[in-house]
Amino acid sequence: MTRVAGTLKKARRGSLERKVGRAISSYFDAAYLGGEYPRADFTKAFATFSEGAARQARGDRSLLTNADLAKSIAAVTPIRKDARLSVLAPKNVAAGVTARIRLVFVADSEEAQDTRVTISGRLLLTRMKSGRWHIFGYDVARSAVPAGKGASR
Amino acid sequence: MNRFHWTRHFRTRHFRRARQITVLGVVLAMTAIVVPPATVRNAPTALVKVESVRGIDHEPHVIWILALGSDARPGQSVVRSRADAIQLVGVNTKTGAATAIGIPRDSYVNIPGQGRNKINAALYFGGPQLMAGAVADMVGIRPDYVFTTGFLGFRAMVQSMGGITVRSKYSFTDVVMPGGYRVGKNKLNGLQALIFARIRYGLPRGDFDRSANQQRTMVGILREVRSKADKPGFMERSLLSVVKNMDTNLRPSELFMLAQALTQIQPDKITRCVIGGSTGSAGAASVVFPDIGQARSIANRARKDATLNGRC
Repeated sequence: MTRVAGTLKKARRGSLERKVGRAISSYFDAAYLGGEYPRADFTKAFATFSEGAARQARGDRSLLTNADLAKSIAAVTPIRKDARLSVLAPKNVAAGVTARIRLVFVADSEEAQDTRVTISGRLLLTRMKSGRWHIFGYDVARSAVPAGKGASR
Repeated sequence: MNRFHWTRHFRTRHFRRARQITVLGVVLAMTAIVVPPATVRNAPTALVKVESVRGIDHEPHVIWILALGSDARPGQSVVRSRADAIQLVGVNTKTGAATAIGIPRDSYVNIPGQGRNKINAALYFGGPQLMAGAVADMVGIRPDYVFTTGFLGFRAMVQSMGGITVRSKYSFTDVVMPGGYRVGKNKLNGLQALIFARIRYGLPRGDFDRSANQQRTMVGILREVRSKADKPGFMERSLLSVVKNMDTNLRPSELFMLAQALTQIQPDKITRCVIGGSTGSAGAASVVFPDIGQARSIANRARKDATLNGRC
């Protein structure tokens, strides 16, 4: 779902959703869902972050990636991947986006109980000169419960 | 969306810890009473730890903003009138700390190219640029941005938020506030907030206390913005209103990034100081002779990280 403050023609809205969706989806995949588990390399997790945001995010990687759990995870099963966009678009040009995200996945473990992980919060995006959208701010929470409990979707 | 998550951010660490301990205590007490010992069960309730992080990319990460309240009357330019409220605010986007330095509007200082005059005249003589120069000369910090609003703009801004809550140090009366302004919390609409920020009669230290009330008003606005920032579309709608109603040379994307950076301020991490001085007269005008040494000292201590160690 996309809310627009201002005006944005239908075609531009579609294009925006695709580009912003790509930036967020790339982050989810690189940080949580993708790769061969068990994995140790998360160096590309913040490729769609701005330089300064990526620098800060590396300091918060224990929450912003699966880095802390990765060695004990055998596989990751996505349950839900959702981003709702609020767009600032004066004069038919999108200037900034707040994405309210919710990512739910199960981290399968061969040695311990599986864990259901929920990532939620906000990602702030703006457009670079190249036309690509990048994440310049984050406010993200993470919770984990044994899989099968905590039925939040 | 996830209201609980946001609510957590608005508490001080100390309060959060105290609350967690209290909640945990209650939970443990209830558990001790309710739960049968040593049985396997499917619990009807759960307590889950939620960890969170936040960060924003803004260079430089310390921003200095000069916030001005212009006394422009209808038909006059807000950037070519006198400044009724003058607040220099430093914001640290990494730590959420901020320092507000209140400058009494009657401060008698040097205005670049204009000689000595009340500092509030700098806006009239040369707009935001000259005002920034006069403040830089006086305090020693040149603001990165100058934000100017007039009476109508300020009222509309507060009104669009649904009002604000300020904590007053003094009680005083005005016709716009039935029952008067009380010591402690006051819920104010746009006009009441405007009067609270402008009035000096009834305040023991006149211009100095008015400047302190302007800072209390800013904190009230910030608290309101932060409490609503989690509502989908709130920031974008507010910024669209700003874009439409404010003269600015910032691109909308810059404005978006700046506004998001400002929401990093944690109201309980704001240090507020009003530059002191003595009152007197210059010609026929009554003026404030500001304590320049104090102003420079505050600025020097807060310059790098917008955090003021020690007292004003």
